[in-house]
Amino acid sequence: MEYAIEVQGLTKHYPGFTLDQVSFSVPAGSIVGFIGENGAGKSTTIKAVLDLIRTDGGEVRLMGRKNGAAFPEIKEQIGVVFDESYFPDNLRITDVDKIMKSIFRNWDSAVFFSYCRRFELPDKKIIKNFSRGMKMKLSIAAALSHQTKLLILDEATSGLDPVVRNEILDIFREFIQDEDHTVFLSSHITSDIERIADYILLIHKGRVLLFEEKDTLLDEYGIVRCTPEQAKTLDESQIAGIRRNQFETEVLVKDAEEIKRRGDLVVDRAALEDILLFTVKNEMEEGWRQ
Amino acid sequence: MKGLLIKDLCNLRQIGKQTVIVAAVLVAWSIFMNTPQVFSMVIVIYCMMLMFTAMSYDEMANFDKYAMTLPVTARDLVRTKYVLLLILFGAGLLAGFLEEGISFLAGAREDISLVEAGAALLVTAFLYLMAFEVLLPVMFRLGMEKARLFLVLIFVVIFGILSGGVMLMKNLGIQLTAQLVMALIGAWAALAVAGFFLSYRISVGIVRKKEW
Repeated sequence: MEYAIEVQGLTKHYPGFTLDQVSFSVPAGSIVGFIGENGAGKSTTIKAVLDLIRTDGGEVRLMGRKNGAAFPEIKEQIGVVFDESYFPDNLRITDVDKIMKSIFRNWDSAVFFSYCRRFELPDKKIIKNFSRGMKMKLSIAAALSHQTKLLILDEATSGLDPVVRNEILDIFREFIQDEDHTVFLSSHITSDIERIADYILLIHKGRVLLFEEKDTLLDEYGIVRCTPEQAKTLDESQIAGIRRNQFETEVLVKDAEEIKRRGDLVVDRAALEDILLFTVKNEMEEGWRQ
Repeated sequence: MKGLLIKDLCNLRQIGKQTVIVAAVLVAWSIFMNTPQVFSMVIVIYCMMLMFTAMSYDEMANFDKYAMTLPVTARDLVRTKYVLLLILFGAGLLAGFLEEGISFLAGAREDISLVEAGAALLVTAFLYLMAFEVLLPVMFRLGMEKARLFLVLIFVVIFGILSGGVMLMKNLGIQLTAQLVMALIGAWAALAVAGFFLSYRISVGIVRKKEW
């Protein structure tokens, strides 16, 4: 299998936070959703992948090339969108086209303007007068208009209304129709990730908690709603997380089918948000216990 | 680099009207006060101060972080700003020389020769250039807000060195001849050119080490 991004043992120390031996591989032709709560290390990981920060250990390969983001020929194939548009406010979309045409060898003005028309971006207005949704659409249009093979998005859909988010997710789906194209999308909006991702990468406090195919994850995991006594009968290795309230105990189990076969417990489908919440909560409780 | 330069020029285009107004006010001032040198001296520093405008737009938009994800190197990022500085320096100097030339043709300068006026303008322009050579690494290292505070300090230091040099010459009894003045201007320009390349190298080092 070819990988668009390969990360091995990535480590970065900050005062009060460590990105700790992060390892994962993003298969080419897939959409990988990168989830975790605020401050979990998503942006730090992305910055390290893009060579925007110096790391304290580990290796990053982009499009098969070690430390690929240091090479302009690799960056030619990568489109990056951050949580905000980073184009100066005084520019118009025609200026953005002129600028990018001189930066990317493969810049395609026709593709760029077709995205701009599709997104209904006004060509007379300066970016300062764009709404947040328009600015993000402009960033995405720019990221997709240079024969991009790898799209890296860091919280690009945060703060956008559901209509705009839906429109943007559709674009990613279209982009991925080409088997060479890969999307690495970080977000804490798990519903977006659940809708489009092929793989889920979950990070918490700088450590990767899981990296799994989404369908496998959603098929295998389940939530058992039971009494505390019933919860105690579950095999420890099955439990990915546990949540108690005064009425019931909810247990996230790793093999829902096996529990179903027992016949005495109700197992509900686990959404990605449940998996995130249970897993992170479980890790936090284990941290407190230690 | 070309794309980054286009971006800077597009940004500066937005204050084109403002620049025309400033130039018109300066021309009017020079005519009414009969001080043509005011325009030429001020227009050079005005043009160079546009560096602050260009870099402030980038800083506000966090453009440099984005630029580093494009097929652009830290060297390109820095080189663009130094080329822009030269363009602004050249534009200011050209406007200054034009105004001086016109004022001589109009007979408004009888106190000094055209060569003397040109030399004075060159010395001042290179002084400004040297100030920005010191300032640019500070801009890259500390950002625009803090760099602004350094501007005054840098001018004070450079003026101090100049005044000290003049006083030293007086004390040593060195007479200012035309040849000596030309030699000093040459040395001053050479110093500014050397400083330009040194400043560029320092800025590249700063940006390479930067985390975004």
